[in-house]
Amino acid sequence: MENQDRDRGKGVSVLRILMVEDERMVARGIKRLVSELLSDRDIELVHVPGLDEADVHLARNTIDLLLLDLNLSGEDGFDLLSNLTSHAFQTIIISANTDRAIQSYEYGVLDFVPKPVSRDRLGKAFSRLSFGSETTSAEDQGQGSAVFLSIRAASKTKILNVGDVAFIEAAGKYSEVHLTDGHSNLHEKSLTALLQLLPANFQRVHRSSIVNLDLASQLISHEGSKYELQLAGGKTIRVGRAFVKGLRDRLT
Amino acid sequence: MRLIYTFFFLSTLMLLANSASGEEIVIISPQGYFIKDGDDPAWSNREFDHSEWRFQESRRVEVPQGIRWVRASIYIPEEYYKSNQPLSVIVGAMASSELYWNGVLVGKNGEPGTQPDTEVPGRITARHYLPPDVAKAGENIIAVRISSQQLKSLRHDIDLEIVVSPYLDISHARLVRHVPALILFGAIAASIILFGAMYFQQNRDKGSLWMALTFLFLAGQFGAEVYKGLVNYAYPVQLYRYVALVLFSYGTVLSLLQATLWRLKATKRTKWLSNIVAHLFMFFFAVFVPLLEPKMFAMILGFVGVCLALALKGVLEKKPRSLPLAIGLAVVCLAGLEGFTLFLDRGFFYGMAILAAILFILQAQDFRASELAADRAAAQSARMELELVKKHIQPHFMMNTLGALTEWILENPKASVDMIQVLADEFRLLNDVSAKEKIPLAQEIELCEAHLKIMSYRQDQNLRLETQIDDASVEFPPAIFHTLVENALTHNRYAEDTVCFHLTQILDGTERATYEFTAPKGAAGQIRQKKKGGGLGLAYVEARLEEAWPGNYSIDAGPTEDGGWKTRIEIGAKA
Repeated sequence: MENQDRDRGKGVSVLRILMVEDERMVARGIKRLVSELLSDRDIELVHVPGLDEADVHLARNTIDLLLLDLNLSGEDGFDLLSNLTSHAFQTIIISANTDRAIQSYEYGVLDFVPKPVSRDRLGKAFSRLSFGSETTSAEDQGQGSAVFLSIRAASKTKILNVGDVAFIEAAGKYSEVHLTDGHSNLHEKSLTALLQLLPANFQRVHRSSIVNLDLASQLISHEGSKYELQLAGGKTIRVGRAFVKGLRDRLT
Repeated sequence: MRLIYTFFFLSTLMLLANSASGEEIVIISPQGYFIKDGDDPAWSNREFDHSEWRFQESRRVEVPQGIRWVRASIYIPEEYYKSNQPLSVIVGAMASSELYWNGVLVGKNGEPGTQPDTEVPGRITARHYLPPDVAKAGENIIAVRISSQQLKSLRHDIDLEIVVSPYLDISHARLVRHVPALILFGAIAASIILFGAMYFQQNRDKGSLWMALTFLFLAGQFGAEVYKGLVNYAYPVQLYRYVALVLFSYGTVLSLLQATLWRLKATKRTKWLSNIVAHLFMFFFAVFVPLLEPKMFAMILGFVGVCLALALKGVLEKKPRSLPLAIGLAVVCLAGLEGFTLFLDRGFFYGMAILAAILFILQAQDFRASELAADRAAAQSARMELELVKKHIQPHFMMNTLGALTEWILENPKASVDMIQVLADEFRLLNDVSAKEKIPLAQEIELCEAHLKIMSYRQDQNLRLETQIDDASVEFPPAIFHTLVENALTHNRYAEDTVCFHLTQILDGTERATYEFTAPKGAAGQIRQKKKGGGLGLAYVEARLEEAWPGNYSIDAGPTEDGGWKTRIEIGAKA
């Protein structure tokens, strides 16, 4: 964890990828594509054939990206998925069952790449990754279509409805997810990573906070160019100066 | 179809009602008979004193050696005589006869004689005009001179029926008695045609055959029954008519019992038991009851009673559609309440017509059910075929295969060409076998090998099937072992470079055949995810086996000692 923070600061981090794929030839193909697409990056790619081996790996190592071949046909397929998306790393599904793509996005995966894997499609998925460039290229608006946010709480995974989220604040490298009912939960993903998964009604209003605009009532300006956003429940969030214009555009 | 049943049912009921409410014709018969063997013209006289003669109330008279005289008095009420209607007297007997009314010869039926060759046989029924100057109000004395030489060798009675009735009305009365029955014949004929046609159209099912026979015999019985009213035959024919009646009615109830047993899907034991009980009952009455009609009555009710008991047992056991059958049979039994003469004349036929109507409906329902079953089987077959083809165009198989192919093209173009060839082989085989109900085992093995080759290319492994087959020409439903191979690969991951599956055929010279498919132990144990595919795969296997050998196969699976997985299929296990 310490390493990750230090690397991130330098912008030359090793990108640690775990690939779960039981098809050997397909795995070989993906491995080749990954090394070609990320040739300018320092990558560390580990391939395991199944989820059991993946668990073992995750228990001992920190990763930045999970490339997952998951047969999502059963109900428990999505239980497994929400467990995985509660982690700090981003998940890209690589699967033949494209009919499950939309549902996968709802459960908080960064991208869904259909099999057979094409170089262009995998490249597009990688372009959404923003490791080591936390503030530069990131959008201020939600980029994904997650419907659920999974939170790791004690031993089990808790699934939140995205619509119940009022705002999210940065908490170190984690995020504090505040719900409309006043409760809050810690999410392992960074604010930037979450914004990539959350839908467009989530807007960054400060370097350290994201707000669900569906619940925002008005932008209040104070003396000294200080701005606050008032939420439906009466709660106010500080708005960073750099974000005022973008926010105003979206509120009108 | 329903309309026809309804029509039969209603018309039957109407006829029953009709015959019950028909205008009664007043008939008069003697109260008792004075009998003397011998021949004396004086015995015809009105004034002759026959008080010394043997007297009996019953009209059943034993067959005499030669000529016999029967005298009786008939009382004609005043108003009956005065109504000025012409009267007739009917003499029905298994004999030739001369009838004297108050000493006057009013009619001859044949010519009584002392020897078979001197006797001219009379008709079974003779109807004589009774002149108004011969008959009188009050007491009349009749004398009948009879002989019955033609059937001497056979034991029988002369059933002497003497009836006085209005001359004009009596013919009408006979007709009325038979018309409903004749119409009923239509229902019986329809039953023969319907059940007969069903037998010939529907895989020769025995139920329809027994039904057709029941109604065929019933038609015979019916014909023999109404023959008397339709044709005035010479009295010796009566005996043949009786024989026909007995045989036909026996055929009717015997067939009805078999039809009932078949319909209720009785066990062999029940079949034997029911037949024995019904026959014992029949023989008991045949031996211990003197007259023909009660014998027949007992036989019919005995058989129908056994049928009813079986149907009621079926109702208790909740066998499908046994209640309507029981109701139909109960109606036939209830018709017996009319007494044996009326029952044999009409009650039995009415009851059977109602039973026929019910059986029509049941048979139509059976027909519908078997049609549905056939449809379902066909749909199931089509579904199997589709499932088999679908397995190979489903994304998991298709896309992973194409993904692997892409990689082979880049890594080793020659291998990729081989892989395309193998893929083409598997699809060609699938196309050949998917629509078939059975294929030779050799072809099945080819299919398995083609699939293993594809998977070998996908995994860059050597996956093989080792077989121990004595007879590869045995026919088998398609893709049974192919599915087992597929399941093994779905549920296991193999790390080794070479993986060998085994298929063994065990033939012990009987109808029974055993097949054992063994998959070696996987590297990483079971895949964590519960895959629905495995269950579906086995469902496919079972459905195909059921289709090919209904109820005559077994399949079980379990781990082997060295951690592998063995699936055992036995065919003809029941045989």
